[in-house]
Amino acid sequence: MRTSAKSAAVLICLASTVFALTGEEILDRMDQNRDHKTVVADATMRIHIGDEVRTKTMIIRSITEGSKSIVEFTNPADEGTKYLMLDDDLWIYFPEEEDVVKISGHLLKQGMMGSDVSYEDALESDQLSEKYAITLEKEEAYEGKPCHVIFLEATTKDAPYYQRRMWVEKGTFVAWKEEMYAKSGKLLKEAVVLEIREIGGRYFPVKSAMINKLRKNSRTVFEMSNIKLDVELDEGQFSLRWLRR
Amino acid sequence: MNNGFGRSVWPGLLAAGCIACVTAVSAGAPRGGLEFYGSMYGDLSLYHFDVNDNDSLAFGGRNTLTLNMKNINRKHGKIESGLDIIMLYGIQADAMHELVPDALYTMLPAAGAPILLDLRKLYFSVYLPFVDLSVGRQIINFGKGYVFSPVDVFSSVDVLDITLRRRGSDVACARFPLGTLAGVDVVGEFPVGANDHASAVKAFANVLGFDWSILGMYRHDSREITGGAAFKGDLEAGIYGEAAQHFLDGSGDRYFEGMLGADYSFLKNDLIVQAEYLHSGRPDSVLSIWGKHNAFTSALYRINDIMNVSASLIHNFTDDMSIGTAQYYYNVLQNVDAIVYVRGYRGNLNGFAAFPDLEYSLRLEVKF
Repeated sequence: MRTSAKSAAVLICLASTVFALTGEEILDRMDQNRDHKTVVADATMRIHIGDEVRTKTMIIRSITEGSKSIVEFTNPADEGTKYLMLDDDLWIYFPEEEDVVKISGHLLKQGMMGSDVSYEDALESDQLSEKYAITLEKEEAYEGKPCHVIFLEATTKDAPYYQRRMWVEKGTFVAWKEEMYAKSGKLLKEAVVLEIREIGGRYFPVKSAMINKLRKNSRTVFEMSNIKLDVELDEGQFSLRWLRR
Repeated sequence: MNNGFGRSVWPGLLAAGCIACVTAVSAGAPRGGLEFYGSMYGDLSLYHFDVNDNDSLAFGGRNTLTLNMKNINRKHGKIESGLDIIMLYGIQADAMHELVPDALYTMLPAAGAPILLDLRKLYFSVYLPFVDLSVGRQIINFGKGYVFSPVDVFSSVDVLDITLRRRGSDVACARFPLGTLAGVDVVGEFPVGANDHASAVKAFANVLGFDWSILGMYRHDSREITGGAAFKGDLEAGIYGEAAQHFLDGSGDRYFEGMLGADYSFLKNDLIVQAEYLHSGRPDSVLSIWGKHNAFTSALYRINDIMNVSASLIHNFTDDMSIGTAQYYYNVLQNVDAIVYVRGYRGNLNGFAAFPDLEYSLRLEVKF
């Protein structure tokens, strides 16, 4: 009997070792949550600077294949301003001057419309495994949710952050918290998911916050609504032509 | 069929059916109508004059209502307009009264603030499968330069405006898309009075991460032909440039203009610097506010997401003329901005009207 219990315990340990997820596998499961062809949504960005709050509203259309996105701002101060994101390139349309400007690479680290979400953050492709070496660091709870903690270190020069650490919930594979570090080890930003919604069997973050650790009391809360996944989108919209419309 | 009340029920059923059909169709139809947006801003200024070693200060200012309108459903076409209604105060009002007799225009009431209208845009567009057509007053951006643009024959930059706004041009424009990032634009300016008008063709594409364009332009009255090219991309810093070779009619003269610009950021993108240089080999017969060598430089430092300070300088080395601006910007409330700025003037960059040497101004703007 004791031998059987001992054997069972050994088998369970072995099974755990054999079936434990690697960092890459965790990332793959996270990507399955984002396995949609298209996204159309309304979004609100609240930029908190100390006690001040500035709100931007926008309409987002996105095609996953080819990393194509169009964002059109609808709040009065930015009415008609549009962003066209194609892979790693960004063009902005300024309606007042009817001008389409290609944004220089060094400006991509700047906050979008004054927010803590940089253009680079918004442009980032889902394929983190292409730019980072991933290791499973530990298991740790985040706000009561059991999580895998994975650590990512940049393997390419164009990776937006040198190091990242993510708390990925077991089961849902939602990255509830992420820390972004510079090469010096300095914590640059923290991203936390505040609310998720199950859409079509996938867990979709609908409210998240980006906290700028280099500025005092500075964070941006990003919230999506009227989310439609996998709707048919005209690819012609993701072009310089459509920006002027 | 009678319904027992002595009246046929069929007309009522038919009417109800029609109403139901129209309602069903309308419910699925995209929303139509117009949307309005814009801003109102007031500039209050003190101008310093130094004439024959006599210092003086004068008050001036303006209130500007910018009213923009476009149609909501722009799937097949667009109507867009932009109108500025401007009220002048102080020495700016005095200057306008001197230019135009009071009694001549109802917009210039005697001893009252003159009111000006500036129609920046009024055009419509039609989106056909292979071409977008636009007719009317619109802003045509042909070049890549922020201040200097040798290839831009249409909507020039107003260097006296602190936001460097462009003026609208009365044109017919056809844009032929050739893919996502490429196409051919054909623009023809309408002849108005004695003003020279231009036509142009531009072909553009994105190659190796750079936006490229080649252009051909023709000024009808002066019969000047211009061939040009422009580019914008990244080489660590952002770089951009334009080149234009002009061929003057009859005389066989030709002259070259070239612009090179760059932008870069420091201090984790909180400090953005930009510079442009323009070389113009134009002969004296070709009027321009730019000399042989000209430069623009600017620096903007973001204090935080709602405040920044900036400084810029536009300088014409040949004629020793310049405009320097230093400003502090604060996004006071959600749609309210305040700008405090100081401008220094050297020479006369608009070719007429006397200029102060210093300007101290406050702008408050409300957007809607």
